[in-house]
Amino acid sequence: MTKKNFALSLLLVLFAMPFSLLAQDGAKSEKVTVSGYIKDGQSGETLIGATAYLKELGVGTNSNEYGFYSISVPPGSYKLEFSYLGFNTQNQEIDLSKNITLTIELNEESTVISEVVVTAEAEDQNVKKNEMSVNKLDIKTITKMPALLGEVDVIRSIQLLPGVSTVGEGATGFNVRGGGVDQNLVLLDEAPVYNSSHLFGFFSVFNPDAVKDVKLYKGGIPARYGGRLSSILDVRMKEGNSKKLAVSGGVGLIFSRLAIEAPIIKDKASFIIAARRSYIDVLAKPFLSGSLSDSKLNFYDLTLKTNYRVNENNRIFLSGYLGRDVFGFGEDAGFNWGNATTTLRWNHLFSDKLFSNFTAYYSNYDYEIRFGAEDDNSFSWDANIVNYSLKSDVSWFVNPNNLVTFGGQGILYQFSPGNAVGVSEGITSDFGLPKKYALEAGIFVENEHKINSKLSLHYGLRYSFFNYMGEGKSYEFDTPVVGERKELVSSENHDQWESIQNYGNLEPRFSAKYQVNKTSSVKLSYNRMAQYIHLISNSTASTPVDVWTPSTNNIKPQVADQFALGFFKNFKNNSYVTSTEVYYKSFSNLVDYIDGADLFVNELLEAELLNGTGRAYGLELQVEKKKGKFTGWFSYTLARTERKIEGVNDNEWFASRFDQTHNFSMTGFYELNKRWTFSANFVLNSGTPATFPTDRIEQQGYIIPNIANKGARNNVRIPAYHRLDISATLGPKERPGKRYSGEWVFSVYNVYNRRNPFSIFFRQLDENLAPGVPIETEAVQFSVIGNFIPSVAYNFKF
Amino acid sequence: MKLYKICALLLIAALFSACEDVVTVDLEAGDQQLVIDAWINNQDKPQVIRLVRTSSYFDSSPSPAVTGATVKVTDNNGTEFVFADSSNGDYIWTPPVGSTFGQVGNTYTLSIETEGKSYTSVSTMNRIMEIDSIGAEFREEDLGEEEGIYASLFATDPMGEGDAYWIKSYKNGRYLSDPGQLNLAYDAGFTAGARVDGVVFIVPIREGINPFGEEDEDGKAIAPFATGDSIHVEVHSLTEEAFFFLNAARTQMTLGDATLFAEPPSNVPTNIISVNGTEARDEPVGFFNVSAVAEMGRTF
Repeated sequence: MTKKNFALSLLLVLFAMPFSLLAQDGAKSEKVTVSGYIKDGQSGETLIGATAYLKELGVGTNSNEYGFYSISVPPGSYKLEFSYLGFNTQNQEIDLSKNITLTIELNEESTVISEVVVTAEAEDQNVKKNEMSVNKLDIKTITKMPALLGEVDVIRSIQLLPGVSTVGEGATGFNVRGGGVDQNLVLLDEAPVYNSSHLFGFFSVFNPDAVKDVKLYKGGIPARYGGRLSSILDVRMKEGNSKKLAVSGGVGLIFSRLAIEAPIIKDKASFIIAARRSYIDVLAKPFLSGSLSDSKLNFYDLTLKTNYRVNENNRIFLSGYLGRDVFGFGEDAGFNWGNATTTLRWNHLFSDKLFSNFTAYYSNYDYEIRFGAEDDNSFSWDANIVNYSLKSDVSWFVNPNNLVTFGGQGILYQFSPGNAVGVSEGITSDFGLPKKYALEAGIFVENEHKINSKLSLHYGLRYSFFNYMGEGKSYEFDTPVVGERKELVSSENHDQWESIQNYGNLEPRFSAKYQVNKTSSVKLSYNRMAQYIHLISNSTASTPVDVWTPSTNNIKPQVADQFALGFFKNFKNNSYVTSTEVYYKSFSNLVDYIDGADLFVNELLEAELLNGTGRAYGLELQVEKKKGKFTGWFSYTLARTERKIEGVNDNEWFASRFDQTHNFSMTGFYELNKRWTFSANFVLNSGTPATFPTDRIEQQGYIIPNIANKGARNNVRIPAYHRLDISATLGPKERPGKRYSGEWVFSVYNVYNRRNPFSIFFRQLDENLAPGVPIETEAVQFSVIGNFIPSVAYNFKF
Repeated sequence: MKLYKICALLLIAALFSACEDVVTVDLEAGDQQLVIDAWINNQDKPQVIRLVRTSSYFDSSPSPAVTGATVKVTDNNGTEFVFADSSNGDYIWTPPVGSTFGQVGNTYTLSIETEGKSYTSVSTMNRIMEIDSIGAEFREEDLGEEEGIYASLFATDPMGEGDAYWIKSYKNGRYLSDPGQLNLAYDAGFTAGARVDGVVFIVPIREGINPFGEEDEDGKAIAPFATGDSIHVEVHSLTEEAFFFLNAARTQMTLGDATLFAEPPSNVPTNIISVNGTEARDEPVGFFNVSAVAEMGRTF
């Protein structure tokens, strides 16, 4: 069977599945449907994951990412209950004789307005829902956590969840269950964000004022997602208040924020615009003299979203993000980087059972480095990754026991790995690299299937396809010594759209839940993921100037398989929520680098790359207290992450750079009274592996470090990391009738002043020595944060 | 890259009081491998090949010398150059008066015999350009640069990719031996992939001959040169392998400058082959390269 035929038959199988369900459905008695949206009564924002429950039949459903729900049942009179944690439950008597539309607005419980809400889902979702290895963080929770410089941050918050780690303070991105930072698909309103950090890794690009919902999938990833191995971070933006003008903002030590949302046409169209800018340079200006006073050192981001409800069946959303970090030193030098995304979405109801969403997005990540003010002698270099995508998802609410989702996606990539222009004494050398092009496509179908009251399944299949194509040049290499630079054998030019290399992967996804009793369940899941684009970076922490590269004839797509098993139990009427999960994950075709690899502006980059496998396994525990004056959670991960790369470490397994045996964190909130809330984080992680030299090689008067045992990789561990952060929030006085409310947030990061090691490096002690003088060497521990950092911020809204 | 890293560090240091602490680390030394330090050239002076063994990284006493070895270099015409044992690890060949070692374009084979084991390596003496000039520019205080004289090396890489150079700089006769100052060029640019061919060295390489971060007796930063100071520059041609070796060595010696963005520590390559050694300590490290040298000096 040819590849094409195979793909076609697969398509047939995939799409036949829903129709078999339809046949099954049709055979039974006539059914009617109640459907609609569930919204927040104050702001008009749709609620994600709210519950609609039919008491008489004991069946229910959750609203989807757009707040839509649909239930099909036999005709009759029912009591329909709508609930969402932190909101008053609403009961609606309905007489279902024909299909009806019912849009519900829930109001926040007045008694819990100031109470900390740990998650925004129904109380026992943890046990009842099919999904596992998924963490949801409510933006309300995130805003209460102690933060560096008082700045609430989505990505730093998820690092406190089990299974999520980072290589160190200030490192870009995060690692999930042994995966690299490029193995996380970070989505902002469905558009991928290629660098999720401002200021290296200190702050993330998401403005908390504009974020509605954050969901992290570490395993059991549904078939509708694809393209990265390790996790999906799905960030959804607010739609904008459709009832009234609302303004919120904050002033902190490092940046200020402002968000404005308002209806354009009440209950029909609204918008939100949120902006942040840091003012490090403004604050530093008085202390800088001469040409340094022209220094630029800031970052900003702008988030915009608007939506328009055309009619009951059609809704359009347009969202955009623009963020940039700018560093400039006078006229002479500078560099900057940033993401831009635009997403256009159309929600369309084909029927009250068939909800669809069509998305078109554009995403661009680019950076630029420039030095030399004179025209005769300068150097500039920029690179980017651009993609355009079309995507569709159709959810078919077959019956209360089956929710089928199917769809597809196509992404067109354009990689500019480096446009570099050097001018030397007036002579220009253009040593840029040609652009690379690729097309990624995927089709999927999945079904959330309740077999009975105990057992439910979620199964799906995704077929992904990747085409590395012209215009471009492909290379063939010879590998004389594995682990060393490959030798170029030949190269070939390709025309525009000409296919250079194809890859396809079948990605099965499966998860099952067995309800042991009312308060406990067992879940298991399996997923296969394929990743076709790779971030080329061999530094400790990924940097903004790292480049993405497509899979080519020399770089195979990475593939990962993951199995997870979990036990979920809630205690004391859902006051305590616990989860225990074990996972095993294997990776193939991981990208690694030869020693001394030349990764920047290198046409023959592929000659510097190595291929390897990986494995990661671990145990994750989380206990959450959700009710009362004192709430919070602790999480613990026991894990191992290893790599085996041809030609590295004598071809033996070694611990990866982000392997952490123990990772413990605790987050607590205490509500003293209506005005004061206190919170604290404590983290304790095993040191990450590092490679230390053992011997010295004298060469031309230099001391070159040498690592025994053929350069054993990651032969030691740096000391453990631990840190305590605290914060106190002083809320507004209760003044009925006043819309304006302000709060002060006082926080201290790294309370007990620990200098946590980021790395330990080795160096010659003296510089420019006279010949013959003995050369001393020393080991130096580098800490990114060497102090405790107090801060104060003021937030307001009206 | 360097600029980028410096900016990053400045920023992190300023904002978060990043800090460095000297720590004690226990390192278990490996097998004492044979170190071959064989960088010879066509300068009119004795040529030295040094043989020692690796020693513990923190041991600052001289590495153990290997004496009693036979060291010779043979060119592709069969001419043999025997390097005489000085009993301190140095093996020396002194050119006869009025001549120098080797010829551009010739291939040289290094043969070493010690403790019953043989080692061999091959290198080619690659072409070298003539240095055009050493420029001097007086600069005002700017961007953390002190007021004073800044030198620039003007030399044009010949057309054709694949030339590589090690630019050594001496201030008042003292070699600038700080690893961060190791100034390498591939054609006229930084790396092989960049393909900056057949032009004058790009600015950072041109200005890489200045001593950076120099201080006076009171610890105050000073400009690279003042009136009366002298500079001497040597440009050594390298084989491509030697360029990669030195590039890797510089990276490994200066990982601390990159901190957050440091590459993983790894061993530098070698072009020396053990012919009959079987044990770990027989595995040679070090490098053999034969250079042609262009040099120029001036006083400011």
